[in-house]
Amino acid sequence: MSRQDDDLDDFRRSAERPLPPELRALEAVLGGLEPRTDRLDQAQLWYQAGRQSVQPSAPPVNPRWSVAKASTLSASLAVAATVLLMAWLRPPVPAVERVQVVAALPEPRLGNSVAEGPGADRLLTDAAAQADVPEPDAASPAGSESPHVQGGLRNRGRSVTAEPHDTARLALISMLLRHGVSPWESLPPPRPENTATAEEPDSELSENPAPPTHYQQRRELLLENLGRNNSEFRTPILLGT
Amino acid sequence: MGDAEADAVVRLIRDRGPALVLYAQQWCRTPEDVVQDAFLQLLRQADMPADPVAWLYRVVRNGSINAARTESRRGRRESLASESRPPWFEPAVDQRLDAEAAVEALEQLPIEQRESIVARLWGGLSYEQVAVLTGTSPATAYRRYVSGLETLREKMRIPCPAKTTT
Repeated sequence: MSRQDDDLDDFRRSAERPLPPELRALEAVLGGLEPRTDRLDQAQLWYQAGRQSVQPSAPPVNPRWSVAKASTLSASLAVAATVLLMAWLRPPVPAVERVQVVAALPEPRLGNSVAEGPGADRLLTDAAAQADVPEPDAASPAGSESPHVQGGLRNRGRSVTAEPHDTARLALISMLLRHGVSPWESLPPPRPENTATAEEPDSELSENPAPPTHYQQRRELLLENLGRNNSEFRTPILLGT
Repeated sequence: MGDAEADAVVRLIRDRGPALVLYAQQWCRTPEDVVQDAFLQLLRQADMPADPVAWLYRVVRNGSINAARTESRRGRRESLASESRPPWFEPAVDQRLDAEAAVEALEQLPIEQRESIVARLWGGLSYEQVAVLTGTSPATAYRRYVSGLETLREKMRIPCPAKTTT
């Protein structure tokens, strides 16, 4: 027999027994007291009941919108979770380090006199080796280049931009290397007009529209001296600035 | 809710309203609001409950306990401001019992006994209904009722009827 059944039997036995007379009298006396009836405002109660009856209820929710909202929310959450997972699992990006080395070409020491002996040859050879000037091509004269000539100076894979006076100086150096310094007499005579042909190596300067630079003037002086009498060509030519 | 059910609610308000207010007053200081909300909830029901009286007492009990929790959170300042309690009963016609003394004696009872006495004596609920309402067995409800009455008799010093006749 369960406890609930025991309680029920106990209750039945107790209920069968009447209350003691003093408790019954007290019950009757207390029952004579009536709760106050003016505390519950019935007018207010019915007013509130009327208000709640006319209040518009919430519009019914379209089940399509509910499904759409739920699907949109779930899709957004899935995309966000995927993106976060991919970002979390992605291997770290290796750092790319770029080192830019600016190498300054050593200025060739060409301030010595060309006619001072074999030292001039050595200086010119060193300068040409450092500059590594390509041979002037007759088909593409260097004189047709722009003022800022990309001189093609390459040294260990790095390129530098040659200024116009550098170009003229290098052209002069290349000419000297090609024809030599000592045998000035073997140079061809200067041409009176700018009728350079493809066969002539110095035709590149004759078509140069740029104003003559210091080296070009020296070159012109050299060519003029080469065109004169050999006995008159005794003046040392300074190649440096 | 049809007209018959609306008439039943009207009768419930008239017949059970004051006792419900007294019952709610055992926990909170705003029993009128709790009882009004209970009747409004009853009016919102699509179908009338099988036992509307027991349903009302259950709703009032839960609402009163919740209101008491809210009042306890508001602090002591407001409780002191509402120290003057409204009278529980109508002016006693029977001069054999002082209503104020009865209220004072009732307030000194434990809430379990007081709840059983108010629900049984003024609410007219049976022991089974009180047991369902309080979540106990009918025997427990009966014992609480009897012990509460004995305590009241001792506190109010009501003489035994047999002794008064002698």
